[in-house]
Amino acid sequence: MPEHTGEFVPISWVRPEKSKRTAKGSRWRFLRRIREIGLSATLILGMAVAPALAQNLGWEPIKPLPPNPALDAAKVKLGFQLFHDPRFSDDGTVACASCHLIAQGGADRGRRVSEGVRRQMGEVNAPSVLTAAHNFHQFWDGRSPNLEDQVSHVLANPREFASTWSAVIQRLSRDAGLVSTMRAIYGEAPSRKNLSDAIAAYQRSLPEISRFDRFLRGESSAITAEERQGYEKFKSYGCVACHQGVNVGGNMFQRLGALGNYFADRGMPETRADLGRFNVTGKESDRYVFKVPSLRNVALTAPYFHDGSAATLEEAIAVMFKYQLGRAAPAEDQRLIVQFLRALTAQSLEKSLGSKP
Amino acid sequence: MNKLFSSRILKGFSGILIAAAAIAFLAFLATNSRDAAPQARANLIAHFLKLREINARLDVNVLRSRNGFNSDYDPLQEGLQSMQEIRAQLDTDLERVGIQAPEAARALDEAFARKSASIDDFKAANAIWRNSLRYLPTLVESIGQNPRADTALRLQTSEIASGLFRFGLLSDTDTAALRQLLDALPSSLDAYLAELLQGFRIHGETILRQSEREAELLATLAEIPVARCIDLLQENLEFSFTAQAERANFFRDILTVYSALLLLLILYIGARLARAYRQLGLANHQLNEANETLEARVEERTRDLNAALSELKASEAHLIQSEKMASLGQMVAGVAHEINTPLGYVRGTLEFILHTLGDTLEPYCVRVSAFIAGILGKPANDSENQAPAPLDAELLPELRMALDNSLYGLDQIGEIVLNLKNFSRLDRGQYTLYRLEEGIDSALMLAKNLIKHRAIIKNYGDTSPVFCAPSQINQVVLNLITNAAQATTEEGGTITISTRMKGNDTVVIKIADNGTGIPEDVVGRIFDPFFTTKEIGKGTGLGLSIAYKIITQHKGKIQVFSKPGKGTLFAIELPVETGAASEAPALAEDMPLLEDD
Ligand SMILES: Nc1ncnc2c1ncn2[C@@H]1O[C@H](COP(=O)(O)OP(=O)(O)O)[C@@H](O)[C@H]1O
Ligand SMILES: [Mg+2]
Repeated sequence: MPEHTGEFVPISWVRPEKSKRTAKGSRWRFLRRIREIGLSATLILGMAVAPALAQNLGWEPIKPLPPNPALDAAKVKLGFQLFHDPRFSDDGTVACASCHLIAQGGADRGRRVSEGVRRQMGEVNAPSVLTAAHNFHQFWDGRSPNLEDQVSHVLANPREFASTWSAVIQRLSRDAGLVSTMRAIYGEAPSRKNLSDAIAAYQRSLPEISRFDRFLRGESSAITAEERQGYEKFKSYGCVACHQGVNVGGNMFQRLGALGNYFADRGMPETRADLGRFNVTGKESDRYVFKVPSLRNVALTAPYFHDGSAATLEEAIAVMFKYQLGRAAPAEDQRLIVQFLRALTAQSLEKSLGSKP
Repeated sequence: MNKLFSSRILKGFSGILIAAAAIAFLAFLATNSRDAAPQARANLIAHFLKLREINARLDVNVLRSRNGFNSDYDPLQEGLQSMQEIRAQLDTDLERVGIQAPEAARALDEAFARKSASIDDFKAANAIWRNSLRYLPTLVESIGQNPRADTALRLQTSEIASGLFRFGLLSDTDTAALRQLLDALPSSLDAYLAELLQGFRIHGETILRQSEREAELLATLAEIPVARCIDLLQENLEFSFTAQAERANFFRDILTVYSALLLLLILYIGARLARAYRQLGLANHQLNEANETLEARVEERTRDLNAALSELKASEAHLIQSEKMASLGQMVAGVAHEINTPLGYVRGTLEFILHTLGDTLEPYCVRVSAFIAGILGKPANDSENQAPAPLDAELLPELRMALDNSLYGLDQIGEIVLNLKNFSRLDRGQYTLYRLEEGIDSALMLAKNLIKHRAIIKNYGDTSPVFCAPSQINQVVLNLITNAAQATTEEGGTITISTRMKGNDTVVIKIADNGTGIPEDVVGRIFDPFFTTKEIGKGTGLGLSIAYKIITQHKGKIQVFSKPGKGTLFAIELPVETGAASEAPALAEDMPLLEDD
């Protein structure tokens, strides 16, 4: 454990002496350190608890979208092609774009669950791909660590593409045009690695700033007064405890129903998908735990939650208040929060937002 | 031929193979002696530094998040992601350096995965805890403002709230007591208050639960030995590096030795090549030199060959001559023998006639003649009717003289035959003690016709017999006498032959004439075979060369002294004991008896 606290952590360039501390001693010291920090920071903690003060310090829990990484335009273009290519699915009926409509928010046109090959229904609501590049894990249960790996999961899922890489590569290799394009870019024939790479590159090109990003960057007039108020409510009610960071979520897991039994009240039979991260880790503590979804473009991606049970933002916000915050909020506050969430829409897609409620 | 060819191919092929193997081994050593690129190592060290730094910063960020210094969890995720990226780079660099990721790497990955999971749990717990803690004062205030809430309840809730805050800050509060206080909260009759109290209870319990969970997770995080795993991995890798460096050093040493050996080999081959070149150069030089001297040598050889040829010709001529002479000699000997017998008859008959004539016939004839003359009284002139005329008194003495002359002629024939017999002795070539004067006399006898009218002066000394081949010595003397005769004229020609002893063991023969003499430019060549100044039919040019050979074979010497216009002297010295009997040359056996036909 470092011997230093605070912003600056000088790192010894000399290798530290071998630690002879026992785990117990280490633990004790660690706790003592926490206590020291805690005591010395009581005042600051107080400030953190007081949202107004925090805001005065310019201490925003949501971070503006960084510029997209420099990408090979040819790869992005190829990724776009592949994203729309139904040959990835077993019967050639489904492409990535079938369930992730970029122009409509990157999710599936208001469907609770999506349709895979042979008209099978999926298990969870299709999340938006627009800012998937900023998620710390992919899928509701976070079973995939990155965009490249994610492709294989969709491809192999029997309810989604129900395919295999060898079959896909075989199909794609018959396309002379595609093969020559891939050879030009990767210097090799289509493979799991380069196909995944191209699709990931395309998805990394998708994030687009919203008016709220402009606000965060100092353009205070970028959002309306109501939206601003909604943001304050969003923070003060504690939504921001989970929906924070660059992606307004997407960087942590949380149990659905932290302060109430969501599934008992839902009125729908429990499915395997409802177990969430438990399906990945098998840990009892991960039962009903899901990745906190990003709220960017959330106004475009109804219905909500992994089960698509909330048809509207208002409904979703109400559920969140009840089961995640364990408190009630006036309808006006919730309305303001909806306004704020609509300001998180990518600017070019704002025109497809419905009229304000 | 084929076998030779294939063995040469095999040799060449194996040579190439050996060279290839040597080079392959060199490449193997060179590859193995290359230490892991220092750059890659430095990279690895840098990775470890970064890993440690990020790990430390991650720990700090966990504490900051716990204590509300972080407004969001992105820094935690960024830290984890950076560590993962560096870990992947580490693998790539290790692969580049050629070291397999050791067990410690897996331990690090495991620790890292645990840390990652713990941080995920921490974030979830922290978010809930923070929200509830933030909501608690609001609840306390709402309860306090409720008219139904009594002072005890207000105190109770605020005490619980401050206890929970304190617990959140210090983690040293007795949670059991707090739980008891929470459970002890009354369930109010007022529905609104009851709802508030229920919320307070739920959030209070949530705070307690999440605080405990947080503390537990933080402790777990403190226990996860990521930093130690990093140290261990680095230690392991440094050990691998050292091992690799040692291995490289080992191979470098071998490489050095091997290179030195190769160099020596190359030097050796070079030296051999140089030597071969030098030898080649020498050979070339010699060849050139040989080319240059070839003319001269060819000339020399030609001269030698010419000499040998002429010698061959000479000996061939000698052979032919001696063969001729041998058969002639045999014939002469045979003829002489055959002639002797009739010669004896004729001589006997003539002597008988002469004797009879003198003793009996003469007186008888005188008497008969006288008788007839007495009877007839008349001379017997007419042939038929006349009685034989009485014998001329002169006739008988004349008859006697004629018979005498015939006898003399026969004697001469006998002498010649004897000489011929002597000269062509069948024992020629046989060595024997021989008085040289004897040979000279018989030669003079044979050359009688040639030397007629020349004055022959013999001046014999008291010489010892010489052990020699008499027929050969005779021939020498005959040749010299013949030459002397041919060099002189009938008028005033004198040939002087003298013998004497020189010391006890050498006999000297001198044959001198007062002939033409030998010109100076010719005297050097007179002993050469076929050298002659005489017209064809008279000279063969072999006389002196044969004489020279015979005398030399007898260990003697033959010398010439001559003054043109005055005369010539040939001097022969012969040792008494030539001792040459055993080595009498074959040629000598068939020495020609006569020079000219
Ligand atoms: N007594 C001599 N006086 C002058 N010349 C002589 C005498 N003996 C030899 N010669 C010279 O030497 C030559 C060689 O003599 P020889 O060998 O006997 O051959 P040949 O008598 O057949 O010519 C003669 O041709 C002559 O010129
Ligand atoms: Mg002669």
